[in-house]
Amino acid sequence: MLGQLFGRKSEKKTSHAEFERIAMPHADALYGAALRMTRDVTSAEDLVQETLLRAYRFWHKFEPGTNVKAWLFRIQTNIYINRYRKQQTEQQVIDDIQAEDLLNRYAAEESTFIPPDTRESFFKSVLSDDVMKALDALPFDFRMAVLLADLHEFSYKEIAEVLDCPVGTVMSRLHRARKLLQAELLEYAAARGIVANATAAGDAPENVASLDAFRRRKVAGA
Amino acid sequence: MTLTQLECGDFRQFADCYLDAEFDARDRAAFDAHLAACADCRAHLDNQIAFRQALRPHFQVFQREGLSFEARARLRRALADAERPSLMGLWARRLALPVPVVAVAVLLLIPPTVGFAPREAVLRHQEASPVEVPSAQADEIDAWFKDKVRFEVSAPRFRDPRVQLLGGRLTHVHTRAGQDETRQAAYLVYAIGRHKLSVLVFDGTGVDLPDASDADEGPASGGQRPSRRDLVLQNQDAFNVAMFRSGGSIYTVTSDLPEPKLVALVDSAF
Repeated sequence: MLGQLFGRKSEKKTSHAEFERIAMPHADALYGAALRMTRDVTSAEDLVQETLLRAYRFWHKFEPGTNVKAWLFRIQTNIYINRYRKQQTEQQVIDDIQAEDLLNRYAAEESTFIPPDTRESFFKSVLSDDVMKALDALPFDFRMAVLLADLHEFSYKEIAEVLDCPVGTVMSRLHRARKLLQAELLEYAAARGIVANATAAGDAPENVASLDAFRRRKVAGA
Repeated sequence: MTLTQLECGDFRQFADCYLDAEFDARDRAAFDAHLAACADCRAHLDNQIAFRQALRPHFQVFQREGLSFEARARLRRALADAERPSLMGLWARRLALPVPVVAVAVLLLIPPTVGFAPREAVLRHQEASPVEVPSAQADEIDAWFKDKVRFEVSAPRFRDPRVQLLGGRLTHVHTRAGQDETRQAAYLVYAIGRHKLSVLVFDGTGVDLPDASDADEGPASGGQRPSRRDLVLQNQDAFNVAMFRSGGSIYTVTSDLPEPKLVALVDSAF
């Protein structure tokens, strides 16, 4: 019985050391994402602290060898959605409507194509603050899809796990989010007179469905 | 629509998958073949690649936003506290083997207890009923409840000056053990910044608080916390509910405040 008791104690210590070694290095990445989620330093710090405490408490549920960063991000996203986002439901509805309006406009005009001769001047004019502002203006689900893919380099499958949605939804959100981000940056540049108002490039209106549907269509057509 | 147009539409629809290397070899080969033959799609892809390359250094800026030294120190302290086993937890471990024996003895000797679900506290917290005694004075609130309930009510006095008592009213809570039982309760409401905090107080005789192990289901649940009190904390419907006993009564403190803040607040109450 004594052995059992001391055994448990040393198991706990190992688990703490493991947590320090495996989970803690992701604290800054969690904070970066938390900042983009909450848009507030204090709330972001609280969110990270709660995420890591919860992760520590449930460390025994983490499967060694799996992606710890994705596991931590999933915990953080769950906490954020359950707590902070419920306070902002009304704002979220407005965000979503605005995003849909924007998307319809840009999908119709295909205005995110920049002629190669103006590309250099446009990209030189983009500031990190612009990117941050444009990213923060995206609805939460879109913002997270871009962050997880382009900043943290998660695969679609991992993003689907973090955001608890199908891979097809990740594809769709990511595509729309990038398009909105590009359109927003072009608007900033147009406002400064760096590029002319967005130009149509003649793309077909896009409607991202699922990769499986595309494959089925290809097989049927072949 | 011709096959060529369809292929162009497909290409642009899935250009992100192509660039994100999410395609398998067969799909990738099909897209490469189209790309080799279609100047418009190459231009489209070049545009997307240019955007990605241009945005990458700006995204890197976000990665430099690390936790401040103070926040990191707070986090380390919180983790160290979480590591320290509570006195109750320690005894629970030492008594691990005799538990079945004790459980049988308890069942035989002690009258059955009834359970309390934190959902009750959250339901009261979400009600928008007005207070019966609007007051910021805890003494006044305690005196108001004195001749109305048969258990002791002591409105928690929080050390944090931002916590403002708004008032109280009588209510009921349901406890469950096979059948419903309703108990009289005192409901107290506080404001802290833009957050609401509510306290339920009711007679704790024969009532079991949820066990820490009840909550041990996954990252979204709660459990027993390192605290100056024997505090049980659970997350219910996106609210944190802290529960403890004091002077024969059960107190529940419910809020959407983050868990560490709520625990610190409850610990500072007297």
